[in-house]
Amino acid sequence: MTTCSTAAVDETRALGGSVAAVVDTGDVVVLVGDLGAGKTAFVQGFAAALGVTAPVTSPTFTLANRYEGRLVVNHLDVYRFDCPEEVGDLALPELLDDGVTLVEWGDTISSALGAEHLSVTIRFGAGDDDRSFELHSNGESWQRRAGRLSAALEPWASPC
Amino acid sequence: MLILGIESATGRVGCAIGGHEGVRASVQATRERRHAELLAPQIEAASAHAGVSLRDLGAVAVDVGPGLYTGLRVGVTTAITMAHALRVPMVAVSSLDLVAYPLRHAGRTITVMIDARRGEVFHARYGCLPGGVQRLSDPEVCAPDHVVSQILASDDETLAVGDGAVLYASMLDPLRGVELADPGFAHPSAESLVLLAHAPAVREEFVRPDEIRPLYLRRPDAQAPRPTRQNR
Amino acid sequence: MENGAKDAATNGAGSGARHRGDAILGIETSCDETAAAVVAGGRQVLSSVVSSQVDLHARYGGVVPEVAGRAHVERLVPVMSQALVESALEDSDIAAVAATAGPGLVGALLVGVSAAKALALVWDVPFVAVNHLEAHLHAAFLDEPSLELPVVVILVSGGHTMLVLMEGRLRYRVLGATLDDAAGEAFDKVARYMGLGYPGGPVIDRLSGRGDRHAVAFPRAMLHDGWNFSFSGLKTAVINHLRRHPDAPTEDVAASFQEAVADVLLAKARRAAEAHDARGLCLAGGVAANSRLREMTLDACTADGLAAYLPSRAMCTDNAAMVAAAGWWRLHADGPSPLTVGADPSLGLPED
Repeated sequence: MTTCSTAAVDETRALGGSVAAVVDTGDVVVLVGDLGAGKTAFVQGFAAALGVTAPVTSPTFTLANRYEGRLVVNHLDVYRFDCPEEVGDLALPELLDDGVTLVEWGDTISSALGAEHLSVTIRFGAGDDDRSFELHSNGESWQRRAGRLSAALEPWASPC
Repeated sequence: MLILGIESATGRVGCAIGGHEGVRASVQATRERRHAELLAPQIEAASAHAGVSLRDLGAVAVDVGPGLYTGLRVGVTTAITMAHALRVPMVAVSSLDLVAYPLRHAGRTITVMIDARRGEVFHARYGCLPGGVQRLSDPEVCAPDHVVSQILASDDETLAVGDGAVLYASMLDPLRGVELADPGFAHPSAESLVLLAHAPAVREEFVRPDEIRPLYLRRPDAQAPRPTRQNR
Repeated sequence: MENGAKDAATNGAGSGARHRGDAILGIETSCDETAAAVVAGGRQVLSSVVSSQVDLHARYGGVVPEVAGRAHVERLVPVMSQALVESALEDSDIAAVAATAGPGLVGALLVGVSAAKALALVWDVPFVAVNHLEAHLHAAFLDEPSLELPVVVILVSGGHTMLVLMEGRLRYRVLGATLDDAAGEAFDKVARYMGLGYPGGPVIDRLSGRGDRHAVAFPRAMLHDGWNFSFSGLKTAVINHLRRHPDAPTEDVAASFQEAVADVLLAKARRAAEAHDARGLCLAGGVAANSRLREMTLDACTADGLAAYLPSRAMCTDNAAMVAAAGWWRLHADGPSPLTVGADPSLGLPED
C-alpha cells in the first residue's frame, strides 16, 4: 500500500498523471471516494498524461466515456451498480481490452473487474482542498509495478 | 431466390449476394472498428458486381452473432432496415454456424471458438453431415479452458476453428486428436451466410425483421424496463 | 444559402402535394432517445416520433452505452415505420435520409447511421450525416418559424453546454463552452449527492419551486470572465455546503444551485447578445426545459429589448425533426454525405 496527500485539485491532477506513467492497455484502476473527493480530477490528470487533449468530465450523464490519447482511456461511473452481474451491462470485455479503464465507485463491483487492478481510495482532509490517497496494488502485474509506482508518487508521499 | 447476406460479427465485415447457383458477388474487409464506414459501400459494390438491383432481392440473411457487440449491431441494423424497406423476409444465422460450415467436409467434430475478449470465447461444437454441419451444443460464452475440458471429455477427433482458436492455439496444440484449422477459416464469411441461408429460404423458414435479435450471450437484456431502485 | 432560406420560407407551409420531393426522414440515436421524423422543406414537421429509454437507464443513475445501443437496435425500425405512417407519405416521397453522426455515444450513433444508409441504398436517395449540435440549433426554427437572426443560442444538455452566435442557418460561431461539466451533468451530480435520483434536472426544477433561491450564495464561476463556463466548482461548492450544513433545507439548496447555473448562463448570453447585436436569445438542449432558466430568459429579453425564443420541451430534448431539418439545410448547401461516413463520438460544431 502507498499513501499520499494533496492540498489542491491541481495536485490531485498531477498525482493522476504520475500513476498514468506506469499503465498499459488492459489495465484497470478502481477509484473510491465520496462525491467531490477528486476522482474526476485524478482521471483528468491521468488522461492528460496519456496525451488525451479532449476535456475530461465526470461520466455522470453517460456512464462510460471514451477518450483517445496515446492509449485509449475509458472512464466509467458505476455509482448505482451494486451487484457484480450488472457490470455485464457495460460490455466490459470489449471495453477493457481496448484501453486503460478507470472506474469511479468501482469498489462495490471489484470482483467483476478482475483480480488485476489498482485501487485508489480518496478521502477528505481537514481543509476543503486537502485529500489523502491510499493506493493498493492488486494482482501480479500491479505487484510487479509497485516499486515503479511508489517512485512515481514520491512527490506526494505521506507517512503510513 | 436472390439473397443478400450481411455479416459483421467479428473484426471482419462484408456482404454477399447469391442464389441457387451460389454466390454471385461478395465484398469483405477485415478492419476493426470500421464496420459502419465499410458496410454500405460494400453492399453498393456487391450489387453492382452481381448486376442486380436491391429491388430484385427475395430475402436478406444476417449473421446475428455472437460476436463483438458494436460491429454486430452495424450489420444487424443494416440488414433489418433493408429487409423492412424492401418488404422481404429474413434468415438469421449464428456466427458460430458460419465458421463451422466451410469445414463441413472435415469428417470430424468441429469446435468453433470466436474471441469474446477478456479471456473468454463464444463456443459451440458441430458434427459433420452430408452437405452441412449440425450443432451439437448450445452457443455459450466461456473461458477457453472450459472448451479444452469439453474436448478432453468427448475424446472425439476435433478440428478447432475461429479467431478464438487462433488466439488460444497454445492451449489447443498440446491436445491429442485436436488439429487447428487454417487461420483463413477463422472468421465467419458473408459467402457462407448466403450459401447457408439458401436452403431455409427455399423452405420459407423466414423470420420477420422485427423478430431479429442479436445473439449477445451476455447481459444486459434491453427487453423490459426494470424497476428503479431507491438511492443508496 | 441565405437565398435558400427565403425560398424555403415561401414554400414552407404548402399543401401535401408540395411536400413531394422535399421531405426528409431524420433519424436520431446519439444517446438515450430513439427517434425518427419526417420534415418537409426543412421546416414543416409532418411527424416526429421519440421512444425514450429513460426508464431503461434510471436504475443505473445514468446512460449506459451498451444498454442504449441494444435498445436502439430493437426500437429503431418500429419508430421509423411509425414516423412514416404518421407523416402520411409513401416511401417514394422521401427525398433523403438524414441521421445524427455525432457527437454522442459511438455504439448508439452507429445504429442510426447504419439504418439511414440502408434506407438511402434501398430507396436510392441521398444520405446526409448530421451534426447533433447543429441539429439542436435548428430545433428552435421548427417551433418559431419567424425566428430572426442573429440570435445567441444557449445550448444546454446532459452532455453539452455552449453559447453559440447564430448568424445564418448554417453560419454560426461557438462563443464559449463549458471547460468541465455540462450544465445537465451538474444537475445530475447535485441531485445524486442530495439523494434525489436520476435524472436530476426535473427533480431539482420541481424542488426549487418551493425553495428560497437566495438562501445560499453559491459561486458564479467566471461570471465576468470571457464566454466559457465552469460548473465543476459550483458542484463542489454545493457538496461542501451540504457537508457543513447537513440539515440545510433541500429545497433552498436546490433553488440556490439552480439560480447560480441560470445566472451564469443568462449573464453571458446577454453580454454576448449586446456584443454581437443579436436580435434575440434562444434556448436549446434538454436543460432548456428548466422552468427557472426559461423564466429568467424571458425576463432578460424583456429588459434588454430582445426576442425570446423558448422552443417546446419536445423540441429542446433530443428528437429527429431537428435532425431532418438540419439535414435539409446541409443537403442543399453541401450535397449528400458519402456512404463511407461513420460515427464520430467527439464531432465538434462546424464553424465557418
